[in-house]
Amino acid sequence: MPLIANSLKGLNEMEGKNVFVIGAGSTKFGELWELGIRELISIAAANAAKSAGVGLNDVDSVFVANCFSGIVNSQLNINSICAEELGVANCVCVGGGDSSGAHAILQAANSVMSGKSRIAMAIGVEKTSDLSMSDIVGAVSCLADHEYEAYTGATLASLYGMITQKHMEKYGTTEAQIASVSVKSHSNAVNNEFAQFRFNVDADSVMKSPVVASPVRVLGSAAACDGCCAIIMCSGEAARKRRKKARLIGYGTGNDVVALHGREDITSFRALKDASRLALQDAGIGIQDISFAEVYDPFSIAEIISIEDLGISKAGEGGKFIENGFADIGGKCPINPSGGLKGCGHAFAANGVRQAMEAFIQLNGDAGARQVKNAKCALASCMSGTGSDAVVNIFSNE
Amino acid sequence: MNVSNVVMGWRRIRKGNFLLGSKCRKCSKLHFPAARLCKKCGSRELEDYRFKGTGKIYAYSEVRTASSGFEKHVPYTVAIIELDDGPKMTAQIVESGKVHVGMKVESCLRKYYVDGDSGIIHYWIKFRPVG
Ligand SMILES: [Zn+2]
Repeated sequence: MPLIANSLKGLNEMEGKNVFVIGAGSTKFGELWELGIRELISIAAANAAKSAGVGLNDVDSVFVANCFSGIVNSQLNINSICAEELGVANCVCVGGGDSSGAHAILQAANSVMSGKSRIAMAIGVEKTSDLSMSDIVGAVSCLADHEYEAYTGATLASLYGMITQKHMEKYGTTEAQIASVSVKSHSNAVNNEFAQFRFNVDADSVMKSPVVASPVRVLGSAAACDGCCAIIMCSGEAARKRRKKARLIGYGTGNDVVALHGREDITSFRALKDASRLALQDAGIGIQDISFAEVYDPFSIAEIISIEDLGISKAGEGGKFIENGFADIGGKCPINPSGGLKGCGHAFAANGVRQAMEAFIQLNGDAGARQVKNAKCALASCMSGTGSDAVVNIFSNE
Repeated sequence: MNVSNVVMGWRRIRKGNFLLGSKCRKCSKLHFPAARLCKKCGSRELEDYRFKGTGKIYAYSEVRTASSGFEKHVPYTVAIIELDDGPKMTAQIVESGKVHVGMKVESCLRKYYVDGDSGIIHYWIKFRPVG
Protein backbone atom coordinates (compact mmCIF):
# COMPACT_ATOMS: atom_id res chain seq x y z
CA MET A 1 0.00 0.00 0.00
CA PRO A 2 1.51 3.35 -0.99
CA LEU A 3 1.33 5.14 2.33
CA ILE A 4 2.82 8.51 1.62
CA ALA A 5 5.94 9.19 3.68
CA ASN A 6 5.68 12.83 4.65
CA SER A 7 8.96 14.60 5.18
CA LEU A 8 8.79 14.43 8.94
CA LYS A 9 11.86 15.73 10.66
CA GLY A 10 13.88 13.48 12.95
CA LEU A 11 15.04 14.51 16.40
CA ASN A 12 18.48 15.36 15.06
CA GLU A 13 17.06 17.92 12.67
CA MET A 14 15.04 19.69 15.30
CA GLU A 15 15.90 22.87 17.08
CA GLY A 16 15.89 21.87 20.76
CA LYS A 17 16.79 18.29 20.03
CA ASN A 18 17.89 17.32 23.51
CA VAL A 19 15.08 15.71 25.41
CA PHE A 20 15.53 13.53 28.47
CA VAL A 21 13.55 11.22 30.71
CA ILE A 22 14.39 12.25 34.27
CA GLY A 23 11.98 10.13 36.25
CA ALA A 24 9.60 7.19 35.95
CA GLY A 25 6.94 5.71 38.18
CA SER A 26 4.31 3.03 38.07
CA THR A 27 1.59 1.18 39.86
CA LYS A 28 1.96 -2.55 40.14
CA PHE A 29 0.45 -4.30 37.09
CA GLY A 30 -2.29 -6.85 37.69
CA GLU A 31 -5.87 -7.25 38.79
CA LEU A 32 -6.08 -4.22 41.04
CA TRP A 33 -9.61 -4.60 42.37
CA GLU A 34 -9.31 -1.80 44.90
CA LEU A 35 -8.05 0.83 42.43
CA GLY A 36 -10.08 2.76 39.84
CA ILE A 37 -8.70 4.69 36.89
CA ARG A 38 -8.32 7.85 39.01
CA GLU A 39 -6.30 6.15 41.71
CA LEU A 40 -4.09 4.46 39.11
CA ILE A 41 -3.28 7.84 37.53
CA SER A 42 -2.59 9.43 40.91
CA ILE A 43 -0.26 6.71 42.13
CA ALA A 44 1.84 6.42 38.96
CA ALA A 45 2.13 10.20 38.51
CA ALA A 46 3.18 10.72 42.13
CA ASN A 47 5.78 7.94 41.83
CA ALA A 48 7.15 9.43 38.61
CA ALA A 49 7.37 12.93 40.09
CA LYS A 50 9.09 11.56 43.18
CA SER A 51 11.57 9.64 41.02
CA ALA A 52 12.37 12.84 39.09
CA GLY A 53 12.59 14.93 42.25
CA VAL A 54 9.98 17.38 40.99
CA GLY A 55 6.58 18.34 42.30
CA LEU A 56 3.42 17.75 40.26
CA ASN A 57 3.11 21.56 40.34
CA ASP A 58 6.27 21.74 38.22
CA VAL A 59 4.69 19.71 35.40
CA ASP A 60 3.59 22.01 32.58
CA SER A 61 1.71 19.48 30.50
CA VAL A 62 0.51 15.90 30.68
CA PHE A 63 -0.02 13.59 27.70
CA VAL A 64 -2.25 10.74 28.80
CA ALA A 65 -2.75 7.57 26.76
CA ASN A 66 -5.66 5.21 27.23
CA CYS A 67 -7.32 2.56 25.10
CA PHE A 68 -10.45 1.16 26.68
CA SER A 69 -11.88 3.52 29.28
CA GLY A 70 -14.79 4.39 26.97
CA ILE A 71 -15.73 0.73 26.59
CA VAL A 72 -14.72 -0.68 29.98
CA ASN A 73 -15.11 2.16 32.45
CA SER A 74 -17.74 4.21 30.59
CA GLN A 75 -15.45 7.16 31.10
CA LEU A 76 -14.16 9.47 28.39
CA ASN A 77 -12.31 12.76 28.90
CA ILE A 78 -9.45 11.01 30.66
CA ASN A 79 -7.44 14.20 30.21
CA SER A 80 -9.88 16.05 32.47
CA ILE A 81 -9.68 13.20 34.98
CA CYS A 82 -5.90 13.67 34.87
CA ALA A 83 -6.19 17.42 35.38
CA GLU A 84 -8.46 16.85 38.35
CA GLU A 85 -6.25 14.19 39.94
CA LEU A 86 -2.90 15.85 39.29
CA GLY A 87 -3.76 19.52 39.47
CA VAL A 88 -2.17 20.17 36.08
CA ALA A 89 -4.16 22.43 33.78
CA ASN A 90 -2.76 21.30 30.43
CA CYS A 91 -3.66 17.63 29.98
CA VAL A 92 -4.07 16.12 26.53
CA CYS A 93 -5.50 12.72 25.54
CA VAL A 94 -3.47 10.58 23.19
CA GLY A 95 -5.79 8.04 21.63
CA GLY A 96 -5.41 5.16 19.23
CA GLY A 97 -4.69 1.59 20.12
CA ASP A 98 -2.33 -0.11 22.51
CA SER A 99 0.69 1.76 21.13
CA SER A 100 -0.80 5.05 22.38
CA GLY A 101 1.52 5.08 25.42
CA ALA A 102 4.53 5.27 23.10
CA HIS A 103 2.79 8.03 21.14
CA ALA A 104 2.21 9.97 24.38
CA ILE A 105 5.98 9.94 24.94
CA LEU A 106 6.50 11.48 21.50
CA GLN A 107 3.93 14.18 22.23
CA ALA A 108 5.60 14.98 25.55
CA ALA A 109 9.00 15.06 23.80
CA ASN A 110 7.68 17.37 21.09
CA SER A 111 6.18 19.65 23.71
CA VAL A 112 9.56 19.92 25.45
CA MET A 113 11.52 20.36 22.21
CA SER A 114 9.24 23.11 20.98
CA GLY A 115 9.80 24.96 24.22
CA LYS A 116 6.10 24.86 25.02
CA SER A 117 6.70 22.76 28.14
CA ARG A 118 9.62 22.96 30.52
CA ILE A 119 8.60 19.71 32.14
CA ALA A 120 6.15 17.30 30.50
CA MET A 121 4.69 14.02 31.66
CA ALA A 122 3.70 11.04 29.51
CA ILE A 123 1.32 8.68 31.24
CA GLY A 124 -0.44 5.51 30.09
CA VAL A 125 -3.34 4.04 32.04
CA GLU A 126 -5.57 1.02 31.61
CA LYS A 127 -8.27 -0.52 33.78
CA THR A 128 -9.67 -3.74 32.26
CA SER A 129 -10.25 -6.08 35.20
CA ASP A 130 -13.85 -4.92 35.67
CA LEU A 131 -14.86 -6.91 32.57
CA SER A 132 -15.67 -10.60 32.11
CA MET A 133 -13.31 -12.65 29.91
CA SER A 134 -15.60 -12.63 26.85
CA ASP A 135 -16.15 -8.88 27.17
CA ILE A 136 -12.38 -8.31 27.36
CA VAL A 137 -11.88 -10.49 24.28
CA GLY A 138 -14.61 -8.45 22.56
CA ALA A 139 -13.11 -5.12 23.59
CA VAL A 140 -9.63 -6.16 22.52
CA SER A 141 -10.91 -7.31 19.12
CA CYS A 142 -11.82 -3.63 18.49
CA LEU A 143 -8.08 -3.18 17.92
CA ALA A 144 -8.52 -5.21 14.72
CA ASP A 145 -10.86 -4.23 11.86
CA HIS A 146 -14.23 -4.30 13.58
CA GLU A 147 -16.43 -4.49 10.49
CA TYR A 148 -14.44 -7.05 8.56
CA GLU A 149 -12.55 -9.08 11.17
CA ALA A 150 -14.15 -8.85 14.63
CA TYR A 151 -17.67 -9.02 13.15
CA THR A 152 -16.94 -12.54 11.90
CA GLY A 153 -15.94 -13.73 15.35
CA ALA A 154 -12.21 -13.32 14.76
CA THR A 155 -10.47 -12.53 18.04
CA LEU A 156 -7.05 -10.93 18.31
CA ALA A 157 -5.70 -14.32 19.45
CA SER A 158 -7.08 -15.98 16.30
CA LEU A 159 -5.52 -13.32 14.07
CA TYR A 160 -2.17 -13.86 15.79
CA GLY A 161 -2.94 -17.57 15.43
CA MET A 162 -2.97 -17.10 11.66
CA ILE A 163 0.25 -15.07 11.79
CA THR A 164 1.81 -17.90 13.82
CA GLN A 165 0.57 -20.52 11.36
CA LYS A 166 2.07 -18.65 8.39
CA HIS A 167 5.37 -18.08 10.20
CA MET A 168 5.62 -21.79 11.05
CA GLU A 169 4.73 -22.72 7.47
CA LYS A 170 7.21 -20.29 5.87
CA TYR A 171 10.18 -20.58 8.24
CA GLY A 172 9.65 -23.80 10.17
CA THR A 173 9.29 -21.96 13.48
CA THR A 174 8.52 -24.61 16.12
CA GLU A 175 6.16 -24.91 19.10
CA ALA A 176 9.24 -25.24 21.32
CA GLN A 177 10.69 -21.96 20.02
CA ILE A 178 7.35 -20.24 20.61
CA ALA A 179 7.24 -21.65 24.15
CA SER A 180 10.75 -20.34 24.85
CA VAL A 181 9.38 -16.78 24.63
CA SER A 182 7.11 -17.37 27.65
CA VAL A 183 9.79 -19.22 29.60
CA LYS A 184 12.21 -16.29 29.20
CA SER A 185 9.61 -13.59 29.88
CA HIS A 186 8.38 -15.22 33.07
CA SER A 187 11.93 -15.77 34.28
CA ASN A 188 12.70 -12.04 33.79
CA ALA A 189 9.44 -10.95 35.44
CA VAL A 190 10.38 -12.79 38.63
CA ASN A 191 12.81 -9.94 39.32
CA ASN A 192 10.46 -7.08 38.37
CA GLU A 193 8.57 -5.68 41.33
CA PHE A 194 5.89 -4.15 39.07
CA ALA A 195 5.14 -7.37 37.17
CA GLN A 196 1.95 -9.38 37.57
CA PHE A 197 3.35 -12.85 36.87
CA ARG A 198 6.44 -13.25 39.04
CA PHE A 199 6.84 -17.00 38.68
CA ASN A 200 8.71 -19.34 36.34
CA VAL A 201 7.06 -21.59 33.78
CA ASP A 202 8.72 -24.45 31.89
CA ALA A 203 8.42 -25.10 28.17
CA ASP A 204 6.44 -28.28 28.71
CA SER A 205 3.66 -26.59 30.68
CA VAL A 206 3.52 -23.76 28.09
CA MET A 207 3.09 -26.31 25.28
CA LYS A 208 0.44 -28.21 27.26
CA SER A 209 -1.55 -25.13 28.31
CA PRO A 210 -5.05 -24.83 26.78
CA VAL A 211 -5.47 -23.49 23.25
CA VAL A 212 -7.09 -20.04 23.05
CA ALA A 213 -7.18 -19.90 19.24
CA SER A 214 -5.04 -22.45 17.41
CA PRO A 215 -2.08 -22.60 17.57
CA VAL A 216 -1.99 -19.87 20.27
CA ARG A 217 -2.06 -21.15 23.86
CA VAL A 218 -2.95 -19.50 27.16
CA LEU A 219 0.67 -19.36 28.32
CA GLY A 220 1.70 -17.87 24.96
CA SER A 221 -0.72 -14.96 25.39
CA ALA A 222 -0.36 -11.87 27.56
CA ALA A 223 -3.23 -11.41 30.00
CA ALA A 224 -5.15 -8.14 30.02
CA CYS A 225 -4.57 -6.31 33.29
CA ASP A 226 -4.77 -2.97 35.08
CA GLY A 227 -1.81 -0.69 35.31
CA CYS A 228 -0.53 2.84 34.98
CA CYS A 229 2.92 4.11 34.23
CA ALA A 230 4.32 7.63 33.91
CA ILE A 231 7.58 9.28 32.90
CA ILE A 232 8.80 12.85 33.33
CA MET A 233 10.63 14.55 30.46
CA CYS A 234 12.57 17.80 30.16
CA SER A 235 15.12 19.53 27.95
CA GLY A 236 18.84 18.86 27.96
CA GLU A 237 19.48 22.17 29.68
CA ALA A 238 17.16 21.28 32.57
CA ALA A 239 18.52 17.72 32.77
CA ARG A 240 22.19 18.76 32.79
CA LYS A 241 22.79 18.52 36.50
CA ARG A 242 20.74 15.42 37.03
CA ARG A 243 22.37 12.14 37.90
CA LYS A 244 19.52 9.86 36.78
CA LYS A 245 18.46 10.40 33.19
CA ALA A 246 18.04 8.80 29.79
CA ARG A 247 18.12 10.73 26.53
CA LEU A 248 15.60 10.08 23.77
CA ILE A 249 18.02 9.89 20.83
CA GLY A 250 15.68 8.79 18.08
CA TYR A 251 12.16 7.82 17.25
CA GLY A 252 10.12 6.55 14.35
CA THR A 253 6.52 5.66 13.67
CA GLY A 254 4.84 3.50 11.04
CA ASN A 255 1.42 2.38 9.89
CA ASP A 256 -0.17 -0.45 7.98
CA VAL A 257 -3.73 -1.34 7.00
CA VAL A 258 -5.75 -2.32 10.06
CA ALA A 259 -7.00 -5.70 8.79
CA LEU A 260 -4.57 -8.57 8.50
CA HIS A 261 -6.20 -9.77 5.27
CA GLY A 262 -5.31 -6.44 3.63
CA ARG A 263 -1.58 -7.15 3.83
CA GLU A 264 0.56 -8.97 1.27
CA ASP A 265 2.64 -10.78 3.86
CA ILE A 266 1.58 -11.50 7.42
CA THR A 267 4.90 -12.97 8.61
CA SER A 268 6.42 -9.55 9.23
CA PHE A 269 5.15 -6.15 10.39
CA ARG A 270 5.65 -3.47 7.79
CA ALA A 271 4.72 -0.68 10.23
CA LEU A 272 7.41 -1.87 12.65
CA LYS A 273 10.04 -2.12 9.91
CA ASP A 274 9.29 1.46 8.85
CA ALA A 275 9.30 2.75 12.43
CA SER A 276 12.57 1.05 13.33
CA ARG A 277 14.34 2.18 10.16
CA LEU A 278 13.32 5.78 10.86
CA ALA A 279 14.25 5.57 14.54
CA LEU A 280 17.70 4.09 13.92
CA GLN A 281 18.36 6.63 11.19
CA ASP A 282 17.23 9.39 13.51
CA ALA A 283 19.51 8.18 16.29
CA GLY A 284 22.37 7.73 13.84
CA ILE A 285 23.07 4.20 15.05
CA GLY A 286 22.74 0.63 13.80
CA ILE A 287 20.74 -2.11 15.46
CA GLN A 288 24.03 -3.70 16.63
CA ASP A 289 24.55 -0.64 18.86
CA ILE A 290 21.59 -1.31 21.14
CA SER A 291 22.18 -2.97 24.50
CA PHE A 292 18.70 -4.47 24.80
CA ALA A 293 15.17 -4.10 23.48
CA GLU A 294 11.71 -3.99 24.97
CA VAL A 295 9.29 -5.27 22.34
CA TYR A 296 5.55 -5.84 21.97
CA ASP A 297 4.56 -9.42 22.83
CA PRO A 298 0.79 -9.78 23.32
CA PHE A 299 1.27 -13.21 21.72
CA SER A 300 4.65 -14.94 21.46
CA ILE A 301 4.89 -14.75 17.67
CA ALA A 302 4.84 -10.94 17.91
CA GLU A 303 8.10 -11.00 19.89
CA ILE A 304 9.67 -13.45 17.44
CA ILE A 305 8.73 -11.33 14.43
CA SER A 306 9.76 -8.11 16.20
CA ILE A 307 13.27 -9.51 16.69
CA GLU A 308 13.38 -10.20 12.94
CA ASP A 309 11.83 -6.93 11.77
CA LEU A 310 14.12 -4.86 14.00
CA GLY A 311 17.06 -6.67 12.36
CA ILE A 312 18.25 -8.25 15.61
CA SER A 313 18.07 -11.62 13.83
CA LYS A 314 17.57 -12.57 10.19
CA ALA A 315 14.02 -13.05 8.89
CA GLY A 316 12.69 -16.40 10.08
CA GLU A 317 15.31 -16.83 12.81
CA GLY A 318 13.65 -14.97 15.69
CA GLY A 319 12.41 -18.18 17.28
CA LYS A 320 15.86 -19.77 17.12
CA PHE A 321 17.37 -16.57 18.56
CA ILE A 322 15.25 -16.89 21.70
CA GLU A 323 15.55 -20.68 21.93
CA ASN A 324 19.36 -20.36 21.84
CA GLY A 325 19.30 -17.99 24.81
CA PHE A 326 20.51 -14.99 22.78
CA ALA A 327 17.54 -12.96 24.07
CA ASP A 328 18.22 -13.76 27.73
CA ILE A 329 19.61 -11.15 30.11
CA GLY A 330 23.30 -11.78 29.51
CA GLY A 331 22.63 -12.97 25.94
CA LYS A 332 23.68 -11.29 22.68
CA CYS A 333 20.73 -8.89 22.79
CA PRO A 334 18.40 -9.19 25.78
CA ILE A 335 14.73 -8.91 24.80
CA ASN A 336 12.13 -7.80 27.33
CA PRO A 337 14.28 -7.86 30.47
CA SER A 338 11.22 -6.42 32.26
CA GLY A 339 9.26 -9.58 31.49
CA GLY A 340 7.41 -7.92 28.60
CA LEU A 341 3.66 -7.89 28.26
CA LYS A 342 3.62 -11.59 29.09
CA GLY A 343 5.40 -11.30 32.41
CA CYS A 344 4.28 -7.83 33.46
CA GLY A 345 0.69 -8.12 32.26
CA HIS A 346 -0.83 -6.44 29.22
CA ALA A 347 -2.04 -2.99 30.25
CA PHE A 348 -2.57 -1.74 26.66
CA ALA A 349 -1.99 2.04 26.64
CA ALA A 350 0.37 1.74 29.62
CA ASN A 351 2.73 -0.61 27.73
CA GLY A 352 4.65 2.01 25.77
CA VAL A 353 5.32 4.06 28.89
CA ARG A 354 6.28 0.97 30.88
CA GLN A 355 8.87 0.13 28.21
CA ALA A 356 10.35 3.62 28.53
CA MET A 357 10.42 3.19 32.31
CA GLU A 358 12.38 -0.05 31.86
CA ALA A 359 14.81 1.82 29.60
CA PHE A 360 15.21 4.55 32.24
CA ILE A 361 15.76 2.03 35.05
CA GLN A 362 18.20 -0.13 33.06
CA LEU A 363 20.20 2.78 31.62
CA ASN A 364 20.73 4.15 35.12
CA GLY A 365 21.84 0.75 36.43
CA ASP A 366 18.92 0.39 38.82
CA ALA A 367 17.39 -2.87 37.59
CA GLY A 368 18.87 -5.07 40.32
CA ALA A 369 18.70 -8.79 39.55
CA ARG A 370 17.42 -8.19 36.01
CA GLN A 371 20.08 -5.57 35.16
CA VAL A 372 21.52 -5.77 31.65
CA LYS A 373 25.31 -5.36 32.02
CA ASN A 374 26.75 -2.19 30.51
CA ALA A 375 23.34 -1.04 29.29
CA LYS A 376 24.03 2.07 27.21
CA CYS A 377 21.32 2.15 24.61
CA ALA A 378 17.75 0.85 24.82
CA LEU A 379 15.22 0.33 22.05
CA ALA A 380 11.50 0.24 22.84
CA SER A 381 9.13 -0.95 20.13
CA CYS A 382 5.42 -0.84 20.65
CA MET A 383 2.58 -1.82 18.33
CA SER A 384 -1.17 -1.76 18.14
CA GLY A 385 -3.65 -4.51 17.28
CA THR A 386 -2.07 -6.90 14.79
CA GLY A 387 0.71 -4.43 14.00
CA SER A 388 -1.24 -1.74 12.15
CA ASP A 389 0.61 0.94 14.10
CA ALA A 390 4.15 0.96 15.44
CA VAL A 391 6.36 3.31 17.44
CA VAL A 392 10.06 2.80 18.07
CA ASN A 393 11.78 4.95 20.71
CA ILE A 394 15.52 4.77 21.34
CA PHE A 395 17.08 5.94 24.60
CA SER A 396 20.72 6.38 25.59
CA ASN A 397 22.56 7.19 28.80
CA GLU A 398 25.36 8.99 26.95
CA MET B 1 -39.14 -7.05 19.28
CA ASN B 2 -40.50 -8.37 15.99
CA VAL B 3 -37.44 -8.88 13.86
CA SER B 4 -38.95 -10.83 10.96
CA ASN B 5 -38.85 -7.81 8.67
CA VAL B 6 -35.19 -7.29 9.44
CA VAL B 7 -34.42 -10.93 8.76
CA MET B 8 -36.40 -10.83 5.52
CA GLY B 9 -34.30 -7.84 4.61
CA TRP B 10 -31.10 -9.80 5.17
CA ARG B 11 -32.40 -12.58 2.90
CA ARG B 12 -33.41 -10.17 0.19
CA ILE B 13 -29.91 -8.85 -0.04
CA ARG B 14 -28.56 -11.12 -2.70
CA LYS B 15 -25.39 -12.95 -1.87
CA GLY B 16 -23.43 -10.94 -4.43
CA ASN B 17 -24.19 -7.73 -2.64
CA PHE B 18 -22.42 -8.98 0.46
CA LEU B 19 -19.35 -9.38 -1.69
CA LEU B 20 -19.46 -5.94 -3.22
CA GLY B 21 -15.99 -4.48 -3.49
CA SER B 22 -14.31 -2.11 -5.89
CA LYS B 23 -12.04 -2.03 -8.89
CA CYS B 24 -9.50 0.69 -9.67
CA ARG B 25 -10.25 2.44 -12.93
CA LYS B 26 -6.57 3.23 -13.44
CA CYS B 27 -4.70 0.03 -12.62
CA SER B 28 -7.57 -2.54 -12.35
CA LYS B 29 -6.57 -3.60 -8.83
CA LEU B 30 -9.52 -5.24 -7.03
CA HIS B 31 -10.36 -4.35 -3.44
CA PHE B 32 -12.46 -6.05 -0.80
CA PRO B 33 -14.06 -4.41 1.07
CA ALA B 34 -14.71 -1.47 -1.25
CA ALA B 35 -11.95 1.15 -1.05
CA ARG B 36 -11.92 4.90 -1.68
CA LEU B 37 -8.17 4.97 -2.30
CA CYS B 38 -6.44 2.38 -4.51
CA LYS B 39 -3.97 0.42 -2.39
CA LYS B 40 -1.75 -0.22 -5.41
CA CYS B 41 -1.52 3.02 -7.39
CA GLY B 42 -3.08 5.58 -5.05
CA SER B 43 -5.85 6.52 -7.49
CA ARG B 44 -9.14 7.74 -6.04
CA GLU B 45 -11.18 6.60 -9.04
CA LEU B 46 -12.77 3.27 -8.21
CA GLU B 47 -15.94 1.53 -9.36
CA ASP B 48 -18.15 -1.21 -7.89
CA TYR B 49 -17.06 -4.78 -8.40
CA ARG B 50 -18.92 -7.95 -7.37
CA PHE B 51 -16.76 -10.84 -6.29
CA LYS B 52 -17.62 -14.40 -7.34
CA GLY B 53 -17.18 -15.68 -3.80
CA THR B 54 -14.85 -18.57 -4.51
CA GLY B 55 -11.32 -18.92 -3.27
CA LYS B 56 -8.98 -20.89 -1.06
CA ILE B 57 -7.93 -20.81 2.57
CA TYR B 58 -4.78 -18.73 3.11
CA ALA B 59 -4.62 -19.16 6.90
CA TYR B 60 -7.01 -20.25 9.64
CA SER B 61 -7.42 -20.52 13.39
CA GLU B 62 -9.85 -22.47 15.54
CA VAL B 63 -11.29 -20.15 18.19
CA ARG B 64 -11.80 -21.68 21.66
CA THR B 65 -12.08 -18.46 23.69
CA ALA B 66 -14.58 -16.21 21.94
CA SER B 67 -15.72 -12.60 22.12
CA SER B 68 -19.02 -11.83 23.78
CA GLY B 69 -21.84 -12.90 21.45
CA PHE B 70 -19.85 -15.81 20.02
CA GLU B 71 -19.41 -17.89 23.21
CA LYS B 72 -22.09 -20.41 22.24
CA HIS B 73 -20.40 -21.17 18.93
CA VAL B 74 -17.01 -22.38 20.20
CA PRO B 75 -15.06 -23.99 18.79
CA TYR B 76 -15.43 -22.31 15.41
CA THR B 77 -12.94 -21.66 12.64
CA VAL B 78 -12.06 -18.24 11.27
CA ALA B 79 -9.93 -17.96 8.18
CA ILE B 80 -8.35 -15.56 5.75
CA ILE B 81 -9.70 -16.53 2.34
CA GLU B 82 -7.76 -15.68 -0.79
CA LEU B 83 -10.52 -14.95 -3.31
CA ASP B 84 -9.99 -16.27 -6.85
CA ASP B 85 -10.31 -12.67 -8.05
CA GLY B 86 -7.35 -11.61 -5.92
CA PRO B 87 -8.03 -9.88 -2.59
CA LYS B 88 -8.18 -11.62 0.76
CA MET B 89 -10.99 -11.44 3.34
CA THR B 90 -11.75 -12.85 6.80
CA ALA B 91 -14.74 -15.12 7.45
CA GLN B 92 -15.84 -18.24 9.29
CA ILE B 93 -15.55 -21.69 7.72
CA VAL B 94 -18.61 -23.96 8.01
CA GLU B 95 -19.79 -27.39 6.93
CA SER B 96 -16.28 -28.74 6.96
CA GLY B 97 -14.35 -31.44 8.74
CA LYS B 98 -10.64 -30.82 8.95
CA VAL B 99 -9.63 -27.49 7.44
CA HIS B 100 -6.30 -27.03 5.67
CA VAL B 101 -4.36 -24.21 4.04
CA GLY B 102 -5.06 -24.19 0.31
CA MET B 103 -8.52 -25.79 0.72
CA LYS B 104 -10.96 -24.60 -1.99
CA VAL B 105 -14.03 -22.86 -0.59
CA GLU B 106 -17.13 -21.01 -1.74
CA SER B 107 -19.25 -18.38 -0.02
CA CYS B 108 -22.68 -18.95 1.51
CA LEU B 109 -25.05 -16.76 3.51
CA ARG B 110 -25.15 -17.77 7.18
CA LYS B 111 -26.18 -16.57 10.61
CA TYR B 112 -23.34 -14.96 12.60
CA TYR B 113 -24.89 -14.09 15.92
CA VAL B 114 -28.02 -12.92 17.70
CA ASP B 115 -28.33 -9.74 19.75
CA GLY B 116 -29.66 -11.13 23.04
CA ASP B 117 -32.72 -13.38 23.33
CA SER B 118 -34.99 -11.51 20.96
CA GLY B 119 -32.69 -9.16 19.09
CA ILE B 120 -31.59 -8.89 15.51
CA ILE B 121 -29.98 -11.89 13.87
CA HIS B 122 -26.82 -10.91 12.04
CA TYR B 123 -26.22 -12.62 8.71
CA TRP B 124 -23.12 -12.43 6.56
CA ILE B 125 -20.88 -14.45 4.34
CA LYS B 126 -19.24 -17.66 5.56
CA PHE B 127 -17.28 -20.11 3.42
CA ARG B 128 -17.75 -23.85 2.95
CA PRO B 129 -15.65 -26.46 1.14
CA VAL B 130 -16.28 -26.82 -2.59
CA GLY B 131 -17.53 -30.26 -3.71
ZN1 LIG C 1 -5.04 1.57 -8.81
